[in-house]
Amino acid sequence: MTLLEVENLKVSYSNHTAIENINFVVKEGEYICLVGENGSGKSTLIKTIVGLVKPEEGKINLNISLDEISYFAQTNLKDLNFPATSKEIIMSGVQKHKKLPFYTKNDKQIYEQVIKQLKIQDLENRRIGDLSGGQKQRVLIARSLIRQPKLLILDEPSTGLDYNITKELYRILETQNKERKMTIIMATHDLDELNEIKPRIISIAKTVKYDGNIEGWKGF
Amino acid sequence: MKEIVDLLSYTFIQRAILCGIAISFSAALIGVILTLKNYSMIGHGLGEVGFAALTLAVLLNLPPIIVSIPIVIIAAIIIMIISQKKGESADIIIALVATGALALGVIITAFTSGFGTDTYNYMFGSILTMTKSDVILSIILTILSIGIYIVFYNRLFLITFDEKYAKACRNKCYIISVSNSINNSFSSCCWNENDGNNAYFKFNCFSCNYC
Repeated sequence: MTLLEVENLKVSYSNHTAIENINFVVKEGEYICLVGENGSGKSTLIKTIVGLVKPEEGKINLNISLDEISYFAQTNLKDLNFPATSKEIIMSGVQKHKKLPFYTKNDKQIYEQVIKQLKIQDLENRRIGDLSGGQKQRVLIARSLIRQPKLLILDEPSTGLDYNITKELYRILETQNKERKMTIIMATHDLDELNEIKPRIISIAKTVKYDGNIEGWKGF
Repeated sequence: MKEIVDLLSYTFIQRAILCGIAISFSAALIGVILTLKNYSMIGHGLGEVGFAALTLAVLLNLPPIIVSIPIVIIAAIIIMIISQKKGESADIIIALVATGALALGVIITAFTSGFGTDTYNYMFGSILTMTKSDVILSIILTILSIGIYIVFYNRLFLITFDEKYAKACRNKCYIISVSNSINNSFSSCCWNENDGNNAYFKFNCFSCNYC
């Protein structure tokens, strides 16, 4: 089943073209890594897919409900000083726009599972502003996972994470992908990890330079 | 003690206490969100718009609060839209709107006869100007504000913390932001009537320190 179809996508900022002529199809259960150098348009592509940036040309066809998508943004963690606990922030990821503003028992159970997976049980009552960069990153990843989305879109999630936590994150994502058939689209620079998880690679430099398995990819 | 009891026997004091309690509930809820979203000057800005609306109401011989509520709501929504579309800090837009509204108010005042203590009281606050209907309206608007806050609490939280994520998850940020702007306008108008626009501004500063 096709979840997402990107057709002839072009996005420009003022007079600068960020991405153009982007075409690809995402099928259910795929694990896709967007790779490319800094400024190649990975984040712009992700922002366009999630609706934060309007395309100049082309279109994005989504074949799943909007509630079934979750997004992890590239965040400036230094600015993340907010008077709320990690638990409140993670739980805010549960919300689906047609539901009443209350959390269910099931939401709370998923919350317990997610914080256990990401090993952040000891952070749940701490204020987000008091956490280290890596801890904040894990809290935000937990917020993305708690929605239990069909399509998870992540923009460089391992930034600021130490080696062990990065490994753990990739293991969690792989489990979600294999066991729950969660479709993952992730912008990343962790080339070592890519060799282990063997995802589909989409290499971007304004346009799609390569789309296929990792074995056939010859670098940027 | 006797002095306090005597003081409480005055109708204007009773109205002031009722109105003050009602507004303190809504202002306490809204102030935190405003400060965290860089809208800390909104109370001051909307207060100036309220002043311009008051001058217009006097010019047209209409009740001030009835005229000021729709005008202040429109101003709050305009501030929100410009700030979101242009990506500028909301406080910059608020400063522009506030200065413009104050200038407009002063111009209308200069061309209209009949201004006196009412304008002064409205700008700097007077509990003597409050009528029974003002108190009832303030209480109704406070209940409405608290209701909006409770119903939208989780979404307001998400939008305040991370608007991009909320948009990406297709939360109806726009509608919620508009509701919040309307909510702010209600509180600002009521507060203006009671204690003057500077009081609301001071409240926001308090919220900022609290956060």
